[in-house]
Amino acid sequence: MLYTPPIARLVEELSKLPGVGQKTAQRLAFHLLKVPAAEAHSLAEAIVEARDRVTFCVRCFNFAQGELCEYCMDSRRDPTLVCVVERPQDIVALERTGEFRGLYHVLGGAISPIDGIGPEELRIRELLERVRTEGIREVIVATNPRVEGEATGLYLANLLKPLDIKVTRIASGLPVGGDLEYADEVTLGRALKGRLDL
Amino acid sequence: MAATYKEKAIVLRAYDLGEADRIVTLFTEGRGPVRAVAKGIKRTGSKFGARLEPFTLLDVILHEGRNLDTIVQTEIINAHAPIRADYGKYLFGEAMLEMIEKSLRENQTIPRLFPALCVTLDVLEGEVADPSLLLAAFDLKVCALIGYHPHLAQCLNCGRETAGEKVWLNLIGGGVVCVNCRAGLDDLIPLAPAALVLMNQLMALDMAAISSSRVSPALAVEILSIAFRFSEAFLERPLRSRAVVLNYLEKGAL
Ligand SMILES: [Zn+2]
Ligand SMILES: [Zn+2]
Repeated sequence: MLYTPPIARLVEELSKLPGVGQKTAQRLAFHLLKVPAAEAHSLAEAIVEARDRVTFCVRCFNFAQGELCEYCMDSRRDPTLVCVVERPQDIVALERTGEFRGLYHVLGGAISPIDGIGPEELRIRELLERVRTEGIREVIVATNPRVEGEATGLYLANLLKPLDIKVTRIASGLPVGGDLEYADEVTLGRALKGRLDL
Repeated sequence: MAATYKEKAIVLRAYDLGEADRIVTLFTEGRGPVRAVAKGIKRTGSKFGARLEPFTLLDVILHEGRNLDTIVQTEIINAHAPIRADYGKYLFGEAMLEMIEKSLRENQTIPRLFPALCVTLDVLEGEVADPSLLLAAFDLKVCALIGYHPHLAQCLNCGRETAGEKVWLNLIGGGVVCVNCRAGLDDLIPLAPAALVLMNQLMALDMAAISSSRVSPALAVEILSIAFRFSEAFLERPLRSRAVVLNYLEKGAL
């Protein structure tokens, strides 16, 4: 189907988004043309503002506005405790728990040789530098509980333990609300290993 | 008509599809590599749990789809936990999975390749004197099974016996050339007599025997680099795990 050039451009731009195919892009484009102009303008402004104003924290590589992110600037947080995650989205998830009052470090992914990603491709050198200079006592490895995340955890443990700091891994096991009967043996084995005193 | 089928398979890799799903590349025993969707796997509490992680050998039931098949049910046979619990084993194991992934088209089957991967992962899981040799042997054997058997006994060009001589591996020809025939050829890798002997042994011995073999670290790295280059010449594309594995060996444990 042929559109007038402005619509064709909008469809083309939308179809570049992850998970958006040609059909969905068309649907979104027509939706944006139907809603009140203010709503469409607000979306356009939000995209421009986010792109222009969001940077990466120079310390932990979380998203930031300016040099440091909100957590690195917050003096009430414990700077001797650092939680290592794969992506900034993971920080959002951890913050929702309200359980953690330390700082973060974003690696930018996990070690995955099949994708050509080794330790050098991640921000591990920067983490090592922080451990050496910031008086960190404990590094909590909160990479995803998948093969790549676990391997990254093993690598970090090998790297950091000789520096005389505590390296811990977030526990993994049964999902709350799940049934023991349906758990796979890897997850259930992990849950047994990480059991707690009652 | 869409059908449901059962396979034994090893998970080669998995990547995210949208918010909750993942595409899993399975190396199946009967149908070769199959890309299939695991619906809802990213939700905690998904019925798949950790069953579709790389290295896992499983019984799987799939439903044929127009583009991608859908994974219906899975049962772990061996999760290969010791490979996943050891950083070095993980790197070498991933390189093996990549070799399989890059060697076959979707649904292409090659006899003996599936059992070869199963046996090699089982061996890697146990005590291994030098995993570099295991990976080098695996890559060379996979090339051979697919039809790119390295010619090592005689010069490709003049047929002269090569035992005990310094020779050059000709990546394009898939074998060695002697000192007289090397002139004017590109893509040659020099092969000292010790490296030639080792390459022959890696082709001849089974994985269990290789797992207890040891050579000098320098020779092991050399033979692994050669196996990588030989495989890449055959596959006509780079192996991404090569740099990660060789960096790891260069820096020692870290
Ligand atoms: Zn920060
Ligand atoms: Zn010759």
